[in-house]
Amino acid sequence: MILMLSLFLFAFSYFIFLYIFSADDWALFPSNRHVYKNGKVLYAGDITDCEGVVLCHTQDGERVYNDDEYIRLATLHAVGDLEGYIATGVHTAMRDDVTGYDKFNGLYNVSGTGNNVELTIDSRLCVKAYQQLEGYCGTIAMYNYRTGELVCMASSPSFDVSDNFIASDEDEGVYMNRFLSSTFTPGSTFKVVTACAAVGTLDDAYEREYVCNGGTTIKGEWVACTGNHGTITLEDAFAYSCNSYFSQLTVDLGKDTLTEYAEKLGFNGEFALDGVKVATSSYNVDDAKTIDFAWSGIGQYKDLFNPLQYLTAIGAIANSGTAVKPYIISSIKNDLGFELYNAKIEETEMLDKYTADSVAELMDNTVEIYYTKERFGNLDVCAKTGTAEIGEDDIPHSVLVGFVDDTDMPFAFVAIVENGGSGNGIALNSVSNLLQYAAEIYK
Amino acid sequence: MKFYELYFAVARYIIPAAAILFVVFAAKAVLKSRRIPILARLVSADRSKVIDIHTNESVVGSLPLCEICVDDLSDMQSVLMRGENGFDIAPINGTVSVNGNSLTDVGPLPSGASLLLDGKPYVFFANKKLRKSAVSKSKSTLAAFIFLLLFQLVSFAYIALRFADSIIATVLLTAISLIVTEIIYISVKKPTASQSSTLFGFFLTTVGLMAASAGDGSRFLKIGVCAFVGFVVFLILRYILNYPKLCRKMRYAVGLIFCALMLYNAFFGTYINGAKNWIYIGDSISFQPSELVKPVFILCSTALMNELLSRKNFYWFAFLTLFFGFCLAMMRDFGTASIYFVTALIIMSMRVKRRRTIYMLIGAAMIGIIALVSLMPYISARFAVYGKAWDYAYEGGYQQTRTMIAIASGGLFGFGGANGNLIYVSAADTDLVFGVVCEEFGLLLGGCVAASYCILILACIKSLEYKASSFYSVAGCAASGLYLFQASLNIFGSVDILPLTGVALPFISNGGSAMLSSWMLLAFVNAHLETCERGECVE
Repeated sequence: MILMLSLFLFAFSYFIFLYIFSADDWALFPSNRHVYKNGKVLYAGDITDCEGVVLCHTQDGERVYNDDEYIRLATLHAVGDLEGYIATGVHTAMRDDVTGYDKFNGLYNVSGTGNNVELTIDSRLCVKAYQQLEGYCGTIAMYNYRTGELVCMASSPSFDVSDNFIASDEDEGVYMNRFLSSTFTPGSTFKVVTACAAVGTLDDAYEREYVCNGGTTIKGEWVACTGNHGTITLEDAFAYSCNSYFSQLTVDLGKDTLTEYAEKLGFNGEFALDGVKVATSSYNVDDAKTIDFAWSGIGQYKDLFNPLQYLTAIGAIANSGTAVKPYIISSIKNDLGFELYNAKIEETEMLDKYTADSVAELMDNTVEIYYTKERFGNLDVCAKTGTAEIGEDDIPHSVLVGFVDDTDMPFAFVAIVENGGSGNGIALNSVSNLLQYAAEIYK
Repeated sequence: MKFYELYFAVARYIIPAAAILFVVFAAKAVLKSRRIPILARLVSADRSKVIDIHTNESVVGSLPLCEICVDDLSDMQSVLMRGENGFDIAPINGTVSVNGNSLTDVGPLPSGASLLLDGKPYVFFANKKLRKSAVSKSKSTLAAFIFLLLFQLVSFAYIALRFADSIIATVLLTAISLIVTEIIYISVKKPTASQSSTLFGFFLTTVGLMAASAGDGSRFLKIGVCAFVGFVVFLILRYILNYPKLCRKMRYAVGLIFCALMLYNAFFGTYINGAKNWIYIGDSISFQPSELVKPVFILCSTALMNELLSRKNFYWFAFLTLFFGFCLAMMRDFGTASIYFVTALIIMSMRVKRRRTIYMLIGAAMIGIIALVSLMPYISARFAVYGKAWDYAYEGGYQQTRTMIAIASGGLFGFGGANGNLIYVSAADTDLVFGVVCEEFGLLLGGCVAASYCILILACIKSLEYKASSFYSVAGCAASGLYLFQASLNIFGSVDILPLTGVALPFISNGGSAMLSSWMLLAFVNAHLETCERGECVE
């Protein structure tokens, strides 16, 4: 009998152990009718943007999205669908938070609704960004590099939840938030990393000269450039995106140095947005031949970046080397209005101040002498474009990274327009439109 | 927001708090230790051996587990028993003569008598300074009772408010009757320590009623009525148990009646959920003999120590065990069959004085458990998912995963009665009832329920040291062991720690026969604890 009692107590302790470690998975299992109705999220509070615009709320036992079609489209990947296909959306990735689940109270709360979640995104900016992307696949995101607030996140294609949309094969990747779950070839935007390595390690970084003959030969193989820049220094090579200069610089820097700086800026590292892991950026030249390594320094070869990671790195350059971790959950309040969570600023040192400020200067100079500040509505924008070659027959991706050097709107941005052509084209114009719109709001 | 929702926002914390305090105080009462006086003394003629006797029933012999262990006697020589009129002695494997008269059966053993045990001379002295002391009231029991009342008032008030427009009259009537019954019972019986065991019955019944309010509350009335019938049967059985000799006479008749009933059930019963353990009388009244046979099995198996060690009694016990086991196998009710198996093991272990035999029993139990766990998957398809319920969450593991979802959703304090979803899963009111209790009233209350069974068996084990009478101790331990084993199968089966066997949770599962049987078993526990409590003190 003692044996039986001991076994019982052992089994019950094991059950409590299971409860402590798995109860949240149990409670949020898709067939729990306290949370879901016909497989859809039912038990959740309001999800609002930073201006208090309600993006989704529960009404009469149903989840109801914002009335405006564009707000629905532009914020869908942030809010998430009801079936859980958008794994990174708040509805799915933050089920614990939005349903108010905790191990003490279970899913119970007095009013029978979940917690209210306030996001950092501004639905107006999301809509504007989404409209810029319309017709293309891609993503535009923008965050405050001083506070970490992600103010704009748009991923295209999107779909309208109120249409009872069911994805077909043609709707490739509608459920994927490209900002979080994709990686892209950086193209010339990777020159930011190479420039960091040069400024950070070479004493003569600014004096160093290389010759561009519309390209250059490395180990007998031709690296083509977009122009014929002649003898050129770092500042101009960065501004005019000279492949000849940067490929030769890359070889001179060496694999170790470039890998070190790529990793400082977050390549091969893990990033997350409020605990939701994002796709990992990769920079790996261990097995690269010299010519491949040269291409890697100008953002080709096997280089891949995740938009959130690169946005954080650009934010660090804008913020004198200190990276502020981006976040999207501003606060969580329960149904009685008690604050359960409030976002905090998390900082890490990514680069030393000199390197960061120097590269920021290079980006500033690039806009100054190449794109011109007028194209950004005279905002003090520092940026670098990229044209990511993805295959001989495909139109390259149009990429732009950069930041606004402005205390009213200290935003870093990343834009990728898939098959959009030159970075100098659609990506730059999209961001320019977005920034000018943001300036109307914030300045 | 409705009023009952507001009320529950507060009540959800009071309910488990009161339950925990009840369990703590009731446990304190039933587990309290008492000093045991020397009842008698056995002295060898040459005064080389002086043996103090503390127990009302003592086996004399050379085996190490004998209460009176004397190495130069036969293994189980004889039994000393203390009754109303002093001591009796009965030979088992040895020869006994009292004052020169050789004994073949039980005979009186007066104080100062000279004894020949296996031909060796002893003198027996009874302690004449003993006097019966009145059993004192227990403050812990009183405290437990007060918290039980609080628990019931808050819970029933919630259920009444929840069903304000439907079964409020039934709820109030049941609640008031139950509380009045308790108050009368405690006033009449005095709140002694052992009465806390009955309070556990009331507590678990209340939880059963709370579980019965799940869904539309339609089961509430039935469970309420069954609880009263159960309590009345408890009182009757408890009264009968005061007369062990009557019980001993009844055992063959009652045993054979139930053998017939089980046989009838095995061949003409009705299949429900894969087990053929129902008998219908007419169309409306149905019952499960396999539930009611549990207390009968224990009643028929228990015996006084001298009988317990006899061959005749062993054959009768073996016959009952095998017969009921056979009938249950015929009914394909393997959950209940395993309960009988474990109960039989407990009863057997109570009569054993050899360590070797105890190891053998534990070995048998282990083999039984392994056989159960390994064979069951092949017996029925629903055991096949054991241990991987989440992989078959929409098929074979449906009930288990829904139970875990429900428990997690309820958290520690629950959603409130009749606010749960688990009740709509099949067999939720019986096999998954632990999940229903946790979902609606929280894991803390579920923990209190589990603790109740543990405390009952612990109290029974602890009381064994008083060796009041094996007639009661065998029955009490078997009954509390049965509770615990059944609770294990139910609770752990529903959360996939054991295979889901579909047995009821004592007092709580929906079912009239089960409620009746639970209360009857409590009579054995109560009788055992109460007998042990009747102590003596030195004048």
